[in-house]
Amino acid sequence: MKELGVPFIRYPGGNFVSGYDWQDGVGPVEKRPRKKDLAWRVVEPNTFRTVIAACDLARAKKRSKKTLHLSFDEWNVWFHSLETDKKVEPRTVAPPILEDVYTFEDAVMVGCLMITLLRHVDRVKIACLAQLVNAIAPIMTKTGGPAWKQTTFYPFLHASRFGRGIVLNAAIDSPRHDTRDFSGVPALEATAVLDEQSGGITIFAVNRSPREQFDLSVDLRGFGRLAVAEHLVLDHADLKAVNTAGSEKVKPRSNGGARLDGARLEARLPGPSWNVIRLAPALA
Amino acid sequence: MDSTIARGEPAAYRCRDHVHRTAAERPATAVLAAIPTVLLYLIFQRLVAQGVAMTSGIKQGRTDPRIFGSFIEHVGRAVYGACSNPATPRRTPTGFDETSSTS
Repeated sequence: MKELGVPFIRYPGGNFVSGYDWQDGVGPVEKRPRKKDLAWRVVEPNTFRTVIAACDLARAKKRSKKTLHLSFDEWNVWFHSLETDKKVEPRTVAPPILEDVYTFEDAVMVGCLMITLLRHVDRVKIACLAQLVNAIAPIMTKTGGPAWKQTTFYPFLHASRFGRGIVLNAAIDSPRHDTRDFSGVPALEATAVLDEQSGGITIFAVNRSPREQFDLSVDLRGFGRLAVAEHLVLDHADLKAVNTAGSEKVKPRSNGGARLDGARLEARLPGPSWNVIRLAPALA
Repeated sequence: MDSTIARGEPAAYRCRDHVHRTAAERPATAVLAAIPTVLLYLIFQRLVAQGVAMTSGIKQGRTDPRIFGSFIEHVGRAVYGACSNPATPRRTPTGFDETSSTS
């Protein structure tokens, strides 16, 4: 959790709260009632001390010059566990539900979502990945055993670590293709973030083409002399590859091969792949 | 080159629209004086180069660290079995491993 740099966690929330009485979660543990969690069909033992949010102070304003910003709540990929969860024994404590095992393909998708969030930082000020551990989460654990990183851990990690700064409104020209539901889908999904303190730039780029590699060319005139510090690539030959306890098949490599020719950055992006190209000010 | 893209416009995926946008159609909120003259073009192409359209990039905004937030629902093994684990030797009376959470 610490490694991801998550600044806050929304808790409690979701369907659980619909039937939750906060008074059941305070006082001596042995005196707290065990309740039915009707939303998830499990038993809630109320041994975990909840944080009570004071959320009834919202004020209605008649007319205001204030710009309303957006909170993008509960975002993630969620579908792998939908069918198997129907077979989980109801009315049990902490059953293994919502435990999506994410594929490499899902990591590329999460990369696209991270880029989308970054490209809308002018209006989106809060976002919550749903969730953090075990339930549709980037971190998976074995109860009483080890924890490991799911494939989707990495795009979140990279964006959280390198995406803090000034998001540049990049112009993109990319081949496009039609899918069953959408037309004109660009192969390249990308954005760039400027670190004002260091003058460094990080480019986040997804090649969402299922097979075809593409050459990325970035014009960096006006940003001063830069050098490639790192080109991280998350790719895998198998779209359905997953990480399990003790077997981390999908993880980033740092030999992406991006290079700068003057103010022009060139990089070959495998299809599909998640890429993080970090540019640092060149030493004089 | 079109360098008058208003702050906040998603030019990243509408670059062709911007190229063809006339001065009258541009948002009135474009304030050139407040915008640094940084340019950023990203061109994606097949190994055989093809024609490309380009426009300029400016600041979209500052990342609010809160966009990297997460969420723990009281569901499945998100709390019991992970954050709160009775089998954890270091557990506190609440079961939450406060040693690791506050370090």
